[in-house]
Amino acid sequence: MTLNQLDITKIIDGCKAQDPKSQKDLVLNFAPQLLSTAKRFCYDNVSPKDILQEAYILIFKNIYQYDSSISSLKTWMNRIVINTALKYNRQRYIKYELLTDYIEDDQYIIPDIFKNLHYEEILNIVQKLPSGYREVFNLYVIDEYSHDEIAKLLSITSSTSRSQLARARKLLKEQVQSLINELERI
Amino acid sequence: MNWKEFEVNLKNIAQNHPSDMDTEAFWNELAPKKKKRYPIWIFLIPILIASITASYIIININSSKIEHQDELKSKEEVHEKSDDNLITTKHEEQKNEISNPSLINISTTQKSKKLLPNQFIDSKVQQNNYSIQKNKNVNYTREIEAISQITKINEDSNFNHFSKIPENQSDIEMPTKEKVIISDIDYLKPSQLQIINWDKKQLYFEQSDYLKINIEKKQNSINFNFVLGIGAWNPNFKTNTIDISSRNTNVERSLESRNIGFLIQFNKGFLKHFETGLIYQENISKIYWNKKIVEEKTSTEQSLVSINTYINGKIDSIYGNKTTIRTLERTVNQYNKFSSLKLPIFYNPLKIKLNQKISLVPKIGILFDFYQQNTGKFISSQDQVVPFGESNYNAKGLGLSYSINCPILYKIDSKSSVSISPYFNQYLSNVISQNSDLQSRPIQLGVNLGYQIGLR
Repeated sequence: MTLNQLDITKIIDGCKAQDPKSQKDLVLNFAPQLLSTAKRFCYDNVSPKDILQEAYILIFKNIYQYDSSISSLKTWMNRIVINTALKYNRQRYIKYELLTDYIEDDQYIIPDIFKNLHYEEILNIVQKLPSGYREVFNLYVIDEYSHDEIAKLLSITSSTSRSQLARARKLLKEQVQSLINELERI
Repeated sequence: MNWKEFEVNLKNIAQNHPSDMDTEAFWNELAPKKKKRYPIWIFLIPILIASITASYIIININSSKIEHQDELKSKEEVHEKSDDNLITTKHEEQKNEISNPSLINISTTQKSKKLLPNQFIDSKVQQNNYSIQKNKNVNYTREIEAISQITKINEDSNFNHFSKIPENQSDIEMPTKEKVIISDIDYLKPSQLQIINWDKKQLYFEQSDYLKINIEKKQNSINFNFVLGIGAWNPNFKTNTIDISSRNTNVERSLESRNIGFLIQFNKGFLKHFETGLIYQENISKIYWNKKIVEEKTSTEQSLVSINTYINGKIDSIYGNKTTIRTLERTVNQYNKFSSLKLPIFYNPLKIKLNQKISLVPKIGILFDFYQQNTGKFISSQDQVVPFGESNYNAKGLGLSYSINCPILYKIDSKSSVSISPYFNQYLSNVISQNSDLQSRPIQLGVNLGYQIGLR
């Protein structure tokens, strides 16, 4: 079901008035997409639904702060889910940093068959990245955060963010290459 | 496709992929439980009952006063009964009973018994705490407990009060049926006695209105009961928010309940079985809990261990199995205050007298209340986890609860008594809304101390 802008405005106004029906609409229409985001950022021992539940509590609590002129509702909620997930993650792993540069190789060619990857397959590939790389890769490539934003969010420097992204890309390429090799063998 | 296109492709797939989930079930977990809504008139009923009762009592007291004044005006008029059956001992009227006390001459005939069915009869004075003596006033200073065959005073007839000269009580016919308690007859002057009947066994004196007024005044009295109580409560912490049950390893709770208030009881007809008033109750929960987890996990996958060299733009790295040691520790201090202003209606069907001084008055009640929950003063080692941040959360609403009390009353004198009353309260309605740490039906258990005073 797609929502037009009028419906979304109605839902937002309802949520600001703490109307349970609007809150329900907000959950029914956006939760599946937000769950996908939560899945990308969470680890084995944390349920993405727990993250989503806590994120929704924050969303209901802070909906009055939402400003449609700054971002879309989907983006705003997506960011809350990411923040909630990162707060969870911050207690759960030891992060290490690479203070080095990596020269990116944009000419790396990938077979077109990779265009038809399913979400779960992408998730599977990205999940294999070490935690620090994975977060930066997710934030930069998929959620379109800038390096400065990532640095602020993860309490690192933007150069660290860049180097981690580069490292993530290298590891991803290796994974993709091993997949290609496997496909060729078959 | 090149790597950039590959990443754009990844982004598009990831951004437009809703996960499969049961959104209805998810909403049900998230949604606040629906509050039962009670129509506003439920809360108005007790106020209405209290107002009507108060008006009724006030009107009655006023009419009694008027009646009493009329009686005082006409008390000098000698009331002579012309009934032939009334063989009496006449009381000699005294105009000035203080300076010249009345004389009471007692005589009797057998016929006097015929009066009995029409009078307030067959009585026995339980305590010899009065005197009727020649040249002296009749002075009642303490409670007289009488037993009568008549259960109700017939206001239309000129009933007589009764008494007995305290002699040879074994000769007295033991009365039957119901007890009538007449208390606080302060001072009965001989001039107010009009006819005294004596049938060898018992002394009867007619004095209709004076006593009637007193009896009515007694029936119109109001008891004020001031209560102060302490106890404990069980707020039933929700597992889906604080999640005490699954996360904690070391929890200390302090769950206090305290209340203060007053209750009013009208000593008239069926109303004497009911009490109402106002009670302010505070329920406090202080929680301290912490948890420490140390986990050691060796990954089955190879992870980066170190970077050796940087040669020709490429990094040689060593991979190995990563071992992660995690130490999680969380400490939370939480202070939660749930306060309510209650309007109770108690029903006490019976009074069990253990002896002259001590009695049990079990009672049940429903309590209408306005409640407010203040959850705050969180101190958390990891304040980023909902709901362990600082919280200004408030819940407000109207609640309904029931109560079981068993007060033990100790009578100090005819007007006042003290009580100790164990109580059990539980909410019938939902009193907590979303984001709260509490379940819907908290229980309170404790003891109230009370001081009761009777006012006319």
